[in-house]
Amino acid sequence: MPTKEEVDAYDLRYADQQRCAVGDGMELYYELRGEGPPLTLINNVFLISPLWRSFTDRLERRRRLLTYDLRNQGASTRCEGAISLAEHVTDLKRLLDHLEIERTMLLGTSVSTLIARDFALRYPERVSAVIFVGPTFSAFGSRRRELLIKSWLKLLEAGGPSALFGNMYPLVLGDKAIQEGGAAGYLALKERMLAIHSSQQLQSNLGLSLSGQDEPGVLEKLPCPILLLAGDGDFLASRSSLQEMAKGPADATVEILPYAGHVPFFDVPDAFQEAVERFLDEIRDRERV
Amino acid sequence: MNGASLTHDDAMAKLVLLMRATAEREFGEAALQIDCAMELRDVPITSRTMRTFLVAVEDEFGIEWDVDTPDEVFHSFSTLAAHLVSGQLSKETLR
Repeated sequence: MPTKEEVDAYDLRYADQQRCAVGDGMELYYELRGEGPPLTLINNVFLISPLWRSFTDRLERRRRLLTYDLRNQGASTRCEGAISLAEHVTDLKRLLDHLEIERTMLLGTSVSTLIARDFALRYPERVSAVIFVGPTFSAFGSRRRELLIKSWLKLLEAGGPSALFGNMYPLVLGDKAIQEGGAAGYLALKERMLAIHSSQQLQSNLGLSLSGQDEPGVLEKLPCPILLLAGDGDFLASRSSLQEMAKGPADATVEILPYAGHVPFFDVPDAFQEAVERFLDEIRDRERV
Repeated sequence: MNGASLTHDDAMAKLVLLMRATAEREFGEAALQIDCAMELRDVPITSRTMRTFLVAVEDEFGIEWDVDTPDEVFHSFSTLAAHLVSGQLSKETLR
């Protein structure tokens, strides 16, 4: 487990650390901010808990935001070997139990949309709504994701995190953000990513998405409101594939953000928060009716 | 940066000051704890602040970053300074 000094070193604002034991000697780092009904934000492979602050300043005015580092990520306990999707789902359940959060809205991004999806399927009574940002699952099945992740794992093995970053950066971010970020933006994100994530951590967290197969139509089983959100430059989640997924569930909305890629909160943080707020408003208005 | 030749120690001192100034805007006085002996990975800043720092380095030293800059350059203030000084030497040799 990282020491307090190591944890503080990731980001000055990591100092506000709290941890939750989730069994097997594992502890998860978490943060709670804001007021209102809970909204739990689940990290993707490269995102750590403190970074959410940069993308959620508006949301925390109307929601109590829970962010946490996955096991073997950031300030949570490190571990060896593969971690299954089911383990991440159980970790989230234990974290919510620990915080006495009976029901929460979930937001997953990229690979963590799988955690959000499976948690909502396993514990529907604990979930008020789900926001899938750049989902890595598809209405047509999981083959594309599996091929992609396997190729990334090979790249990681051959060239380390630096090679993986070089491949992912132009895929994940939108063209506008990449152009405007320039070489300094690319190098800065790369340096930080290499500082925070080891090759072993990336391998185990990427591998989680190989531990389950997508069942077409699975979202139909979710009884809560769903928002499928992506940038219009998302290399994985196209408008048509999101619309296909939205056909099944009774209460699913698709929103596409311009000038953004697979992680739209990076590209267009304001537009991202506005989209989430529209979703919150829709739910509120319906509850009033 | 114009004028006299840049030494490694000068460059490193400037880099630390730039990093402190950049980080201070975001984190306040805690940024003053940053010193030249730290590895960059241990400097507690976000990627956004790191980008601001790298842009400040471009402005201060009159360079433009190349995306193919080796990862090793970003190991420490010392390696960054060495990269900047060697870049200056290369330019002088070409003249």
